[in-house]
Amino acid sequence: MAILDIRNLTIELNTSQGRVKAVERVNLTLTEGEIQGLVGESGSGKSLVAKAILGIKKDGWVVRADRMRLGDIDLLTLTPSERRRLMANDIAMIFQEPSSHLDPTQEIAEQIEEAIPSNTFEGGFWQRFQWRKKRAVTLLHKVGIKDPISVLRSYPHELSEGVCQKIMIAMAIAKKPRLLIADEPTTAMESTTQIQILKLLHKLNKVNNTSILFISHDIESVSNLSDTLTVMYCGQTVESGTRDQVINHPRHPYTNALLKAVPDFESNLAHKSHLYALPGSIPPLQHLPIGCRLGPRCPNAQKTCVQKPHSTRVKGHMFNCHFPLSIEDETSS
Amino acid sequence: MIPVLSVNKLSKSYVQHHGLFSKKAITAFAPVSFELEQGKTLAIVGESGSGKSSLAKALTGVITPSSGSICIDGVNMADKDHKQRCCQIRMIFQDPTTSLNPRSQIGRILKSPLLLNTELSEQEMDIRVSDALRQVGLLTEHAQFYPRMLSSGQKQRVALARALILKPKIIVADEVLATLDVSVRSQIINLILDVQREQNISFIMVAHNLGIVRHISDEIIVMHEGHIVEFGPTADVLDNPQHTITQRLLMNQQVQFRK
Ligand SMILES: Nc1ncnc2c1ncn2[C@@H]1O[C@H](COP(=O)(O)OP(=O)(O)OP(=O)(O)O)[C@@H](O)[C@H]1O
Ligand SMILES: Nc1ncnc2c1ncn2[C@@H]1O[C@H](COP(=O)(O)OP(=O)(O)O)[C@@H](O)[C@H]1O
Ligand code: SF4
Ligand SMILES: [Mg+2]
Ligand SMILES: [Mg+2]
Repeated sequence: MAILDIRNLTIELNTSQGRVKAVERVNLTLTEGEIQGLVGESGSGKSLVAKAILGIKKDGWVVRADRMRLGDIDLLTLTPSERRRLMANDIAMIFQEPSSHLDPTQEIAEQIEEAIPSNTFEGGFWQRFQWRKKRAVTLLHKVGIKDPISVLRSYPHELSEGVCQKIMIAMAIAKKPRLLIADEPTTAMESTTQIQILKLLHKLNKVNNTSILFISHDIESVSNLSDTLTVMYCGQTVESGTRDQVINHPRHPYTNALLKAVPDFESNLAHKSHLYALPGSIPPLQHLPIGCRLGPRCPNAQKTCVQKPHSTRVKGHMFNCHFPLSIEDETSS
Repeated sequence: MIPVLSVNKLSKSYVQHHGLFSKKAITAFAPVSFELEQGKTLAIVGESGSGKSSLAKALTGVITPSSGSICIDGVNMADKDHKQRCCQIRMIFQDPTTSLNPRSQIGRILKSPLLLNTELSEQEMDIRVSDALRQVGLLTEHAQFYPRMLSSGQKQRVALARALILKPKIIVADEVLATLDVSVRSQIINLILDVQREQNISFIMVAHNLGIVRHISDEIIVMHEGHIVEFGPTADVLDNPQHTITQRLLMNQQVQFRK
């Protein structure tokens, strides 16, 4: 069953140069118990999508969608306060730079204990004494912190980014969420710590069956972990499907370019030869091309591309392109 | 053949003062020796805190080494002044946003190393600036731009142009690819490969993505706690890692979550 089902999500922002569609008709479906990777380069609107799911709205934002469901609940019909309560209970989120999301003036112990909801208490009344503290220790153990007692007594600045992220994850799973949104949780971490965090999220998913939306700018780091992938470019979804469909049989020129730009995916590449690169750079929000936003950088672009392409769907593999790569193409190259 | 760079027993330790009377030496890297040929790329890899940035900075003279010597084309850099050294070996930093002065136009940013280190006329400098811009795939008009008007990829190009403008023999780049988006990163890698092919410049690159390291480098140094634990041709080292640290770095890169 789909835990998250979003159709045609559009987010418009008011900027000094007028109103722009920062996110245009994005679709996202997450099945219960799966890890989905949401991949896109900076400015592609990944964080905006995450905020829209959480119902966070700033002044001057217009968020519209044809459908937005969390399990069997229709998010679009909820009042803001119902929405907030639901989000607080069912969705947890972790961010890049975890230390900036922790309170620098409070001990870790207090912050974790605050994050443990009362309704997660199990056991008889005689166990009530200090149960939060005990649960905090268990949670830290679960996220792989070896010395929970001393970590609980520390302040955020005394801990490394890796440990801070583990604490954020501990706080996130304290409420047993149905969905965990991780927005670039390992960006700017060194690789050993990165791997620890990825392994932890993987374990969480396998043991608790928590669904995870894993947002990343790096297709390489997210592809191993994910069951399904959605690729975004400049606020549009370009392709989505299972890991195998997207990584091994990409149909969209942008996905193809991302994959070919990584030497590891491109196996038959001569040493020091040119990597595949799209010309130009990501356009700023105020100068988005009309139609398919990849147009000016796309090697396959033709006149029709000034119209936004419709979705094509083949066995759950979805791509938005007027001239998708054929399957023969990529087996021969 | 004389290697373009030869490093002999170079080391660096920082002295930390605790209160008035006690001080402690922290070894950033222990004595290291290695050589690099002209037109080749040397990659430096290792975990965080292993001393990569300190080594890179000591090579370019940003920090003074505690001991050892650096020779470029057989000439000991200790006998040379800062100017001559700048013309031979240049550094590019990780974050182009902070390393480019936000209040200077790109033209000025590129001109300042020329003003400091050469005796060129104003006209000759302008020619050098537009040449350097063209080399890194920017336009002459970009000289009038300010850094904030450029994308991160373009800023990284400016940083490369600034390193190239003194026509150095060696360029040292510390994690310059790490913050770039994938589609821009491949453009910059291609640019570095082209520059190296055309001008026979040697590169020393601190990097952590081993896929990229394998693709662009000829030699590799693996560092751990300030020591070189493995050094050799990149393909040999990565295909047949001898040291546990190298093996661990490789394993981290290729974690498979399902089999
Ligand atoms: N200015 C300084 N004062 C004192 N110690 C320092 C200084 N700069 C670096 N160090 C120490 O020297 C060692 C090596 O640091 P260095 O920055 O070279 O590591 P690195 O390999 O570049 O790490 P990273 O991958 O995190 O960039 C570390 O233990 C660091 O704490
Ligand atoms: N509060 C805001 N006000 C104006 N523009 C914004 C705001 N937040 C994000 N944007 C713009 O929307 C686009 C998408 O942003 P974001 O979702 O943060 O991208 P990503 O997370 O994919 O890097 C960017 O061009 C960004 O500049
Ligand atoms: S729709 Fe056109 S411009 Fe867009 S990706 Fe497809 S071919 Fe390229
Ligand atoms: Mg973001
Ligand atoms: Mg460093």
